[in-house]
Amino acid sequence: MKAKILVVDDEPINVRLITEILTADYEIIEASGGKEAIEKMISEKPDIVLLDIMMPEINGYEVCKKIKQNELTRFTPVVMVTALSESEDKVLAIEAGADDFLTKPINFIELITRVKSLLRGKHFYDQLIESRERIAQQNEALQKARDELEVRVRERTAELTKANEALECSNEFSKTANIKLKKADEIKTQFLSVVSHELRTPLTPIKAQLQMILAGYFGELTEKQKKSLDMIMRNTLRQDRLVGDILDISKLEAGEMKFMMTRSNLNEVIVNAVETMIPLANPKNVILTLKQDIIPEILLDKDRITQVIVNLINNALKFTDSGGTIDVELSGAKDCAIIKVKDTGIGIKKEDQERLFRPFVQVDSSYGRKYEGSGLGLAISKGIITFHGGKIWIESEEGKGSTFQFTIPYIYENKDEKVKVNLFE
Amino acid sequence: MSKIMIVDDNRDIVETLKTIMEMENHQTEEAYNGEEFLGKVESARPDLVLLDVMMPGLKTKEILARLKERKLDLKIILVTVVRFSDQEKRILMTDFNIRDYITKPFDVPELITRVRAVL
Repeated sequence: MKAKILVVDDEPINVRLITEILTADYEIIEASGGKEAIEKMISEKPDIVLLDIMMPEINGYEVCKKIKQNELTRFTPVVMVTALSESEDKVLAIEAGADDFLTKPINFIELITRVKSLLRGKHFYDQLIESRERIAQQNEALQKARDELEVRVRERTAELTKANEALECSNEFSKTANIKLKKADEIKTQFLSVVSHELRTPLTPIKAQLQMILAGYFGELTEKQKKSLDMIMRNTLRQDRLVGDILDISKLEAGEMKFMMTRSNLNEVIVNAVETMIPLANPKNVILTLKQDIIPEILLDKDRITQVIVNLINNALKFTDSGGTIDVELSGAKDCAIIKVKDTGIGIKKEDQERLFRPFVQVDSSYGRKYEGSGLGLAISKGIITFHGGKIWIESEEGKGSTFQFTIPYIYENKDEKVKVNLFE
Repeated sequence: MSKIMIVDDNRDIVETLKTIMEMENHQTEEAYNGEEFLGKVESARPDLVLLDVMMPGLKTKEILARLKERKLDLKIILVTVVRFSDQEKRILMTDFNIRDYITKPFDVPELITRVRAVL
């Protein structure tokens, strides 16, 4: 775009002269008097003004002063054109704010050089203004962004404060709930311990007194007395076992069963369990055998695992007739030990097999009450094995016998001493 | 003949234990709670104490701690319904001079064997 030059002169000939020289490179706007010049300064926004001094109405100094006083035009370079070369004129011109001078008769090369030089200055100035505006705009945008940010920070802070309050509130709530839960837990533990004590205490003198009577400490017994006392004794022992089983089940269910995990030799545990059962197998004419691989030491509760093995052998004995066999087998798999108790008993129907591990389930009433038990042994065994991270299951064929099996992983992963085992699912 | 102190809040159990100990030709003395036991034990000087674990009043731990404080070197068999862990057993034996324990309902021949072993 061409730069605009406003030429102000009351002599049309002068205007035309200047126009002819500059018109090829610049856009020329003409004004024949001071008033018109000031108007065009506003409407045309020229880049440079060539201003004649000697004009009627308002002279060039006044026009220059007005241009320099107006905010919109004050930075537009003004070149005073004068016929005089007196220094007094120049002083007046400088006072009026002129940027440069040209003396009439105009030297055209000088005119072009001065215009170019002043335009260069004006160009820099314009760039400066522009960049200042840009900076101002950027500043404004920045300020706006900062304000917005501040508002958002305030909003967010308010939200956070609120969330914090809510959290504190819920913390307080869960603290109370926790205290209540802990209390309930304590009550439960205490309850089981009291029940355990209260149920066993009466059995203590009953059993001891019976043993003394039966042993003849208080005099000899008749056959009938002995038979009667034997029956009382049998049922007392059964009651004792039942109390023990019910407490075990309750503790497993409540997560109150205390396990004492120690690194143990499973081979030894099994040998001991089988040996305690031999005196029960012999009178029934059932052969009890043991076959085992050597197993690395495993973290387990010796007493509880013994309880499981004894319980499985006991079950097998109950359902195996004279002349049958019970084979106990311990083998090592890749990541667990497998214990099998295989009998040649009556077997269990497929549909009964799953229910078997639930509490208070006795396989089938058709087997009759001949096979007495609490109906809790397998459920307790399942709880104990589950705690150890193992599995327990049965494979059986009706009439041919059953094989109960369970696993104990070599690596015990449960860090907690107490684990709730849901046995009723 | 030894002197056995029987401590239990249940009178029938005390009576039963007394009968068994007398059958073994021992002399007996009874206490029905921790306070009574602690009050009598010094003058009674028993050779063995059969101590119930869960009595109203003083807790077993407290009874054992007080005995320890008084430096009474007593042989004690605990009569309990609870199962002790190996660690608990170790502490009971080394710190409180517990010689053995027997669980309720106990077996008479087993009790006699354990008492004989400790005496």
